[in-house]
Amino acid sequence: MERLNIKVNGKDYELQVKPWATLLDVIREEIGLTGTKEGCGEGECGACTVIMDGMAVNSCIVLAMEANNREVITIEGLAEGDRLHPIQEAFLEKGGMQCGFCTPGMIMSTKVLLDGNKNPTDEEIRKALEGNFCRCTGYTKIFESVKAAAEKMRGEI
Amino acid sequence: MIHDFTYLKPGSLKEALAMYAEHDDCKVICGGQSLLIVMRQGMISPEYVLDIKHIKELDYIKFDPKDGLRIGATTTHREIEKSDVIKKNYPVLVEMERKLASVQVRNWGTIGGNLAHADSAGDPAPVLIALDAEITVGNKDGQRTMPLEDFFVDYFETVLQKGEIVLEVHVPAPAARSAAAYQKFNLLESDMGIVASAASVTLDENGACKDVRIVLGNAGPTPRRVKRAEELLKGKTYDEALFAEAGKIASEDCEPVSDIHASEEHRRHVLGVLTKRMLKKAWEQARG
Amino acid sequence: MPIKRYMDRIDAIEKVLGQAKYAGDIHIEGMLYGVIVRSSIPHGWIKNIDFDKALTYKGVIKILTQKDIPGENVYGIIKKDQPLLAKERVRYIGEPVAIVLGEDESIARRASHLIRIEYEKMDVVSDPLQSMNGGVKLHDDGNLLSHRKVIKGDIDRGFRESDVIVERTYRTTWLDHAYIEPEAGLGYMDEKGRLIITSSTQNVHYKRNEISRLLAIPEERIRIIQATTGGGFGGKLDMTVEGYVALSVYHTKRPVLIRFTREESFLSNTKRHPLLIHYKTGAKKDGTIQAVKVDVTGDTGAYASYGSTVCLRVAVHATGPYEVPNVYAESRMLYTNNPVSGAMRGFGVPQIAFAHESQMDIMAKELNIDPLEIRIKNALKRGSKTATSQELGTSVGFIETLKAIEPFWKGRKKSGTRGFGLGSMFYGMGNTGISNPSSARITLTEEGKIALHTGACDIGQGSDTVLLQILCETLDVDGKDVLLVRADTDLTGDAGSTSASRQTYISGKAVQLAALNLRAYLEKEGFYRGRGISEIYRSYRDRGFPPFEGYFDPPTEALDMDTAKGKPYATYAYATHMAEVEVDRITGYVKVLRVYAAHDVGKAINIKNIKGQVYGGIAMGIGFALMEEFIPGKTESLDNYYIPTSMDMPAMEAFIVEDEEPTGPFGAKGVGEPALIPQAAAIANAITDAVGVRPYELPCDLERLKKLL
Repeated sequence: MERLNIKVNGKDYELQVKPWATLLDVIREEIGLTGTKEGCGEGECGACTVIMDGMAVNSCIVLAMEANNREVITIEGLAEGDRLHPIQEAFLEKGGMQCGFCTPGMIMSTKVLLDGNKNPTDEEIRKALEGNFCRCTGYTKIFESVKAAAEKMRGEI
Repeated sequence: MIHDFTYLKPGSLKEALAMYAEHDDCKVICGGQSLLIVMRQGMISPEYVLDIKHIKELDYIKFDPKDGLRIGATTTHREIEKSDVIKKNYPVLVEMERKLASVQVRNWGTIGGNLAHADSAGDPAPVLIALDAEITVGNKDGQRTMPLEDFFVDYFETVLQKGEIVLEVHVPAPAARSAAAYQKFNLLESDMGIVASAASVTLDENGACKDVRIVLGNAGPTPRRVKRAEELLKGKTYDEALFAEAGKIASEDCEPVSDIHASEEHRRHVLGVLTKRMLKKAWEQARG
Repeated sequence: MPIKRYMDRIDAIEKVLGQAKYAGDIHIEGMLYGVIVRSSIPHGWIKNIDFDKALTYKGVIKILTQKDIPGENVYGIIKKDQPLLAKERVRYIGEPVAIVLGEDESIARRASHLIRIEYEKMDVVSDPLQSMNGGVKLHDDGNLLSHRKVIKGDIDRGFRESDVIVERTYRTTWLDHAYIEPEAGLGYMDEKGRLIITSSTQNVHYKRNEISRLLAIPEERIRIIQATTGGGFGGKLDMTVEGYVALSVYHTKRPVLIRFTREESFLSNTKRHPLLIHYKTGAKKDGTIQAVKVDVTGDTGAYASYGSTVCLRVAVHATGPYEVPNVYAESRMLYTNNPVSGAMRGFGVPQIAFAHESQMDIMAKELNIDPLEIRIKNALKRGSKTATSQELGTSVGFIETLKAIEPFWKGRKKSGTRGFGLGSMFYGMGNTGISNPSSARITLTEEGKIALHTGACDIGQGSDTVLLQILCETLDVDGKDVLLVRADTDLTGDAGSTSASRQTYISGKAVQLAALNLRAYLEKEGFYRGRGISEIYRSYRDRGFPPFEGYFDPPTEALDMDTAKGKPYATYAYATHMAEVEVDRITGYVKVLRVYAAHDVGKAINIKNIKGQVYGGIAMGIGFALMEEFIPGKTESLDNYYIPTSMDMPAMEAFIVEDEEPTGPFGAKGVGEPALIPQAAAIANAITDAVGVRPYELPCDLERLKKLL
């Protein structure tokens, strides 16, 4: 077992983890945050996307120990109390999901995009989400949600 | 399912090289965006995993107009994609990185990890070889530098000896009147290429070809130069028929294999087409 | 009747917060994890299984095999022919042989790799034609699972009277549903010793029935609850993990979680049937179709699953949405040693639509008639008779879908290697020629809410929202006044499966009928004069909680076994898609640039949901047309099974046509499968328009297209 120090959603954890555990394993099984999903286990589908030190990563292909002394944000870390993050509000209002299994990853990728780019073009939105598969929506409502989220974050709506 | 291993985390490059020398059956992880997948598939199950991703000494992008570009092994794809100095001097590298897997993978995967994994379908190697890159590897006893094209031995196999890791990639300063182009061919925008072709072209004052390098991706066990086509083009002036001829040579001088995504025959065809197109593109950019 | 047509998805809030609980997210203290050990060969006798190493692996609790099944070791939604765990023989790569139960998932997984199965290999039947020729017998009753014919008029006369005859052969391959959530389920025994299972599923009552037989325990002792489900598309209709979870709980008396990895999902779930379609069309010079003769051979894989359903549905839909006086459609499903093919969005109709829509375009070209015109000319309309001689009385909005697309079709500008194509379809709502009812029940709660109990599984398509909307509309109440109790065999009645685009139409109608019963009661009790539900609740309680129930079984008639004459469906949905593509002639790369889609949904209950379904169907259709292909023994994961990403999507616009269906709730029909069905056909026709060569095989990926060029 290895000792892992990790900050998740603002909270510090000191955990004993198996060396081969992935960051996803630790988030879901040790910390108990199950909003982050495993869709493929090999970094194709993006359902496991979390934000680590400001970057979107596929937590299924990052070893937990690689996240030592780093800061991770998961879907559970976006809302503040009862107040939804503007991206969550936008996905809610635009109906940017169907089965919802890809939604946490989609929202995390969106957050990284919008944190760095307040007014992304359609092409930039597509590009930022190319590592997040959705099988239900044909992506249209997801794009609309991202655009609405950008407007909210710019304070326009 | 990843098999059990012991995790080694050195504090410095020196320590990393010392640890690597000490441990048999040890795999270096430097981002692990490919390694963890093959480990999950059970294709490899090392006893030790040596993590060098966090080693800051190898995380750099340096550019000097004379010396060229030096990229440390732990530099991520995303850092290369976002580098202004690379965008300005080697735009083809940025274009290549933009199409490498997804943002998530580029954020965590490194150039050193990518090259050491030696996947024949990897994107960076053909482009870097077209740019005449060298690679520096080292172990606790010293370092050696070689042309990147000599680094690859076979599918997923490199010249790295026991205890050796990738340290740096060096790309010479761009010559005047030169340009490079790269395209991979795939079904999904973000997927690995079915095949790929990179071309770099340097012209002389009269617009004739002074130097040219053509490199194919996923066209055999290692990224491969198409020297016969390069020879054909040297000294010649812009001629689309020549590009077509070079493309034809490319489709002949390669050894792609059939798999579920494409047959060998189709791969050869597309390699020819891409090579022709990349030569034309690079040439036109080199002309300015 | 005017309705609001709008309600936010009721599940959206928990989904954006990451709080929705999918089966694999549930954790119960002390639970075990199960991993299935599968056959590595396509066909053989099991000679010996060596469990020794796995049994002694630290943390392994139990290993179960077919010997441990107390009831009948067989299941199947239509024909019971599939063992839960292989008996003495395996018939496909991935067939389950044993279950390893461990204290944690990695223990079970590691131990499962230590089990050695020895086989005596048998000859492999790798395609349906080989299967038909006999030799190797895959099941005791032979290799032919199903054989159906649809006969109308006089086919020979039809061709004799035709001026032009077009005859072609089409092929499609296996596809995977590739829902983003792999299969998962959790089970435990409650304090009364009842077996409780929560799983990712499209039907709860069917699964209770199967588990009852497998374990030989009465249905009352079993409760199945649907967890939030991350997509289904037909792949979670069959038993996935439920039987294994049930057996594991039965033997260990401990909670057990089984969740498949993506690789296991690919190995185990049912596939879209690969079909070989010979299609012959005869038409008059003016474009009137006189005769259609279709011969379909399908690979149903090792076990029946929905093979016979697909077999019949393909034959019934063989003509497409056109009135054809003379029809002879014949369809067969054969067992092979390939993966089990089953239900996947459209039950074979997307495949046959590829054929009939290609035929329409070829015929149009032969006769020099515009593709849109030839479709309008032959279109089903009120009073038309289908291939099963069913007279269409109401809600036949097909021509309106063509008219909705017409401005874009007429305005198309062909240039270079850009091309345009049309695809049309009709699709029968609900199961084919059999009873397929749904029920709904409404209760009042002490807190003053109106609770809708429905067995309908929302798998992402949005039935939770639509059914509540129908409730609200019927009762004239607000979303905050109602709550939903969903898909739980203890608390909800049987609504049938979420399949065949039937939930809005059938369960929606059941909800509406239940709500009308309640409405009459509420009117009497003064609700509409301002008396609150909490207050009414007391008199409701005093009367012993009479339930307000609704039941709807669409009026169908069984089909004649020889000719399929009859009324297979109460009503049909209709749609037309138009695709614009650009083709790289040299490499074969196809980019879908734009899609217009028009759907006759009867009545749009929730416009946003409908459009979401249509866009999602287009995405899946792009996959079917251009990139998706499951190759048995080779395709392992999403790394080598491509589905469309955000970068592959065209600009899309959806149009809703409303020709109300009197039997549906407020006139509604379904849209889930229609959304997908015509899309691949439209792309194939667009490719032909662009480069002049026609794909006869899907997916028309780069290499196949290049070969054609």
